[in-house]
Amino acid sequence: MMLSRVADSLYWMSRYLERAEHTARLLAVKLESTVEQTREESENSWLRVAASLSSEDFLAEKPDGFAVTRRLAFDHYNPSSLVSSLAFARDNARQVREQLSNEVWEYLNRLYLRLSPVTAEGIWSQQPARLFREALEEIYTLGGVTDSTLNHREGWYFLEIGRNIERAQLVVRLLDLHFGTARALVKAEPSYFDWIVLLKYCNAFEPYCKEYTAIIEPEKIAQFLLFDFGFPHSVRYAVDRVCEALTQVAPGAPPSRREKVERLAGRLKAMVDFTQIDELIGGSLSAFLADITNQCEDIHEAVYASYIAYGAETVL
Amino acid sequence: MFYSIRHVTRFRYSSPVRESVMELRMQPRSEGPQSLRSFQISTNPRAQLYAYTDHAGNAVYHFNVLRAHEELRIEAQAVVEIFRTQPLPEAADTLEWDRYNVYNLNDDHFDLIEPSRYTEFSPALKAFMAEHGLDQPKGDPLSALKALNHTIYESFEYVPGVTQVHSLIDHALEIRRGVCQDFAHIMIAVVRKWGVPARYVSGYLYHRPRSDGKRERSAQSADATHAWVEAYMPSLGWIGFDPTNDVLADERHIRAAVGRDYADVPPARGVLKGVAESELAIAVSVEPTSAPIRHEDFLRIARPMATPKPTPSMPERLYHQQQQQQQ
Amino acid sequence: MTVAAAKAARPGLDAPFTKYALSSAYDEMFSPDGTVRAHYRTLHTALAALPPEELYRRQQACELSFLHQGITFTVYSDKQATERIIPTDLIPRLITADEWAHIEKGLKQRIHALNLFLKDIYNDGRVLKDGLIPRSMIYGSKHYRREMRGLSVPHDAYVNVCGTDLIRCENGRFAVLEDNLRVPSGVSYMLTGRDVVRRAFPDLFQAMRVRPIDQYPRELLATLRSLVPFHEDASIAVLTPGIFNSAFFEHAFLARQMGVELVEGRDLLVNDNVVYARTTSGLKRIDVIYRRIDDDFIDPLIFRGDSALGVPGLFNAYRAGNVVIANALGTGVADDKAIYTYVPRLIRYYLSEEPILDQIDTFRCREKNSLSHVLANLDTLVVKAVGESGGYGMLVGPHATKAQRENFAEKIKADPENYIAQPTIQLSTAPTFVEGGIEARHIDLRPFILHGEETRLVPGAFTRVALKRGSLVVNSSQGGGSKDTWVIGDGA
Repeated sequence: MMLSRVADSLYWMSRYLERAEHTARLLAVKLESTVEQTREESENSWLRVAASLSSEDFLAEKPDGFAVTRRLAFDHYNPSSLVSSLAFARDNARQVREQLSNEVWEYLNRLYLRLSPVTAEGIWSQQPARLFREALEEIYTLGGVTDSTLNHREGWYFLEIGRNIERAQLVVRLLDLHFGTARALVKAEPSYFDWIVLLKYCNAFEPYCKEYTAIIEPEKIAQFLLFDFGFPHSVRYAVDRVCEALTQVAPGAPPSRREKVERLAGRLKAMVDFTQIDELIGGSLSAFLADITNQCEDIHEAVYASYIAYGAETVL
Repeated sequence: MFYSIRHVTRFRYSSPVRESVMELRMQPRSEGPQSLRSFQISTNPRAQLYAYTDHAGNAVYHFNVLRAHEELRIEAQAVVEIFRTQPLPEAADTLEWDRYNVYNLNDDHFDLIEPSRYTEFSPALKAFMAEHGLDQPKGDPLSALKALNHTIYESFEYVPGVTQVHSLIDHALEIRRGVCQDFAHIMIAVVRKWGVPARYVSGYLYHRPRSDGKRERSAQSADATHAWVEAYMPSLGWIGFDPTNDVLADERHIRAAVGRDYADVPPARGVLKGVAESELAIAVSVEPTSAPIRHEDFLRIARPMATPKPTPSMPERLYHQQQQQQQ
Repeated sequence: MTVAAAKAARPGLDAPFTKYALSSAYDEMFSPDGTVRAHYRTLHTALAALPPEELYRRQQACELSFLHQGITFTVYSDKQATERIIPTDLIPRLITADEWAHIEKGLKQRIHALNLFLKDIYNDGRVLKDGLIPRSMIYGSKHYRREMRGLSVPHDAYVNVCGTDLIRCENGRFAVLEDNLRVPSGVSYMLTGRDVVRRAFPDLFQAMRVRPIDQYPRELLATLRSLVPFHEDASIAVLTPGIFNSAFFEHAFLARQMGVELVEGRDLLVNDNVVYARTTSGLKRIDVIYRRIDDDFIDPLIFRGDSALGVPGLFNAYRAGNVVIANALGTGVADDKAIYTYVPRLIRYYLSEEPILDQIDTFRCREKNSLSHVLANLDTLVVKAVGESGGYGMLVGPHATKAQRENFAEKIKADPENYIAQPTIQLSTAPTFVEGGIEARHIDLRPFILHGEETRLVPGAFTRVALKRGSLVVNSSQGGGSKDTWVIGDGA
């Protein structure tokens, strides 16, 4: 048995960790690549980083690299900053401390205690990218520790659902900034470097080259990040994991309660399994990306309605 | 004398609420000259009712409604028979005061001579007592209490709605207005200060048309339950005083529950989940016969006189309350 | 042995005890003449041989391990909540097998009497009718629950988990200072402290044949199970106020160690007088609740209506016998500091036995003679508010300023029934590692008693230590630390 509140905390812990990982990676990649770009290119790509992780009023301030880093990484008042995400992940983990292995809790707690007091001012003069690389490595390690010390039962599958719904939405947001309606937020068109950086944002540069050689073509990037079935940061891969995990949660729940969730997840899976990029380019890609985001929202809500925030009278 | 009582309570919520849990103290007691002939409660939405007897001997019904609802209606119907009792003497004998020393040691009375939440011996009460020469009781206990009953009647104006269910006596003492609950609490506070055990009675009153054409004050608010006081006289037993109407409780006073004060015996109290404005309507009818009640929907919107609104559980409180002391 | 004794490092003279000051208090390690007490010799020798840097290194490792494990309590200031570890001193506090046997017997006697007392005041009230305790003390207590009158609890066990604070007086005898019968905490420090100290001194641990305490969670589980007839199948939950509570770590720790659910009020609901937990697969019935929430908050329908921590309807389910709550409600009336003064009499009254454990002489300010004595001697007394715990609402006369004493005197006069006073007791001292050396610090002792169908104690305790030199206040909220407590085997 698993308390609904525990499932809720595990789900959010995992979503926040995924967001922390994504933020750390964006900042690490961006800071490492700044040296190779012209000043103008760099400013534009900083804007894209800002746009992918914060609201539009921040963009209006025309932030520079330092401001974006401070806001996205260390601003405790920004609820989606790296340190806030880690704090929320830890708060959720603390709620369900007794459900986690000691290793997972201690690793996450240490990571939080290490990053929480850091300030942008404190690291800016000394290779700031290094801190994000290290944070990223620790988050990867935490993922490994989670996989190898936690019983792969219901709780672990709620972690999977949270992580992969968040991942799909974050990747879709990046794609939207390069292909979809959000592209208008940054005036300049993406440059050659921007495409490479986009792949790196998703840990996809080398896997992409293996698949498509080093020739960078936006269409193929979209194909890879959306539809590759084996790449862990593709939307399709994330959707597959969600579908798989959904079959493993709430083992005692009656079929009537599973039906809606599994139907919604199945529909999204079918959509990403059977769509090809050439059907979308030059037309409906924007709408397609928006559709994925909305369907992820729907799945989230259905999971809550069926397993977490259901009316007690419906299950008696 | 038979009375048929119908007591309808209705909560309406501005948006659906869930998981309502309620406790009711509406069943007339069956003791002394009062005998309960029939009693039933129905709720809408329907719910399984459970009952127990609380430590003061009151019958308590409770139930819960899980599913979302925008209205909760509780209807209690009772038939009660009340026998006429021997008239009380004009006064008690003068030795009555001495007898309290023995009786006040009795377990049952201990709670009823100490101040309680709504019967605090506050500076405002002290001033009120001084003003009306109530510092010491005059004469025998029965005469003193009758005089007090009258003093309270004369000193306060009966105005429905000027005080709230959870108002302390200081509020009524300050504005010199109030309702039956306030008058009962003030009287209890004074009586206990005198060392006389006193308890709060929640119940119903049959407003009989009087030959002199006057009506009881509490009849102005026919849609409310009534409250009065009982005080203990060692040689006469429990005697009811109704300071709202300046009378002794008689065969028209139907007792439902007794306690230290209102907090022990609210007719209905509840907790629910959800955030909604609630609107409460209470209707009570007391008829001397068992003739059917004519108006199907006789609810009128009334001020919450005797029933607090259910408390929604508020998440904001969580943070603070979680910090509670551990030993 | 005589040779070893002659060479032993002396307090106040030899390293590492150069700053070790003996006082009028009983010292656990040294006799007043500076010789080492027999059962401390092994530890003393080991400490003398250990370089201070090494001790410091082990101490650091221990504190870091606590921080990483999140064994913390939370201190609240205006806006910020800070997590702190309870400083754990590495040097164990030793208790001999004989001493323990005495304590165990005394505590079992005490919990037995207190449970009979609770049963009595919630039922027949024999003790009140016999005039042993004034009614006003019971009915006037804010912890007395009229709702509990006439309810029966399994095995008549009202207090299922009790943490009793003992101190060792100048005469070397243990005396009870206070019973904690509502939601006693600290057992997680006993268990986690043992882990790190055992790791720091593995050889000593083995050599001294320290009796194990790891079975505590199993014993607690067995106690909770014994409260329902279908022991093995009972569905048990620990009810916590939530992560912002200072003892949350302990709640989570115990739930995990017992393998039961940790629930908050919002996880539970009552339908048709049965308690359920809301799970992903549906509603699951709960049979026993080990609650770490105060009475007031447990059911907003019956008690505090504004409680967001409790479960509406829980008390009625409890009344109906559909769920067991441990500890029972209303136990606080018996750990009131004023009731404390009556416990020896209660033991004689209910058990017809003499109390095994001493108590501290206590003045009840409600009594006129005592009140004038207390007011005249505030500079030598400790005054406590009867319903408080955790070191709040208290005056330590000898350590207070004149103004503080005068201020407190007014409070006592305004509400004498709310205060008791005790002579300032010199708690015993024990070797404690501070700032690079080993010094004497005051300590107390909180063993945990489990009481269901049977009464059980594990041979260990939460020893609290006042880390400030000379301080007698050991509460963790007031800068106290903890020590591992070793009950050592015979002849070790």
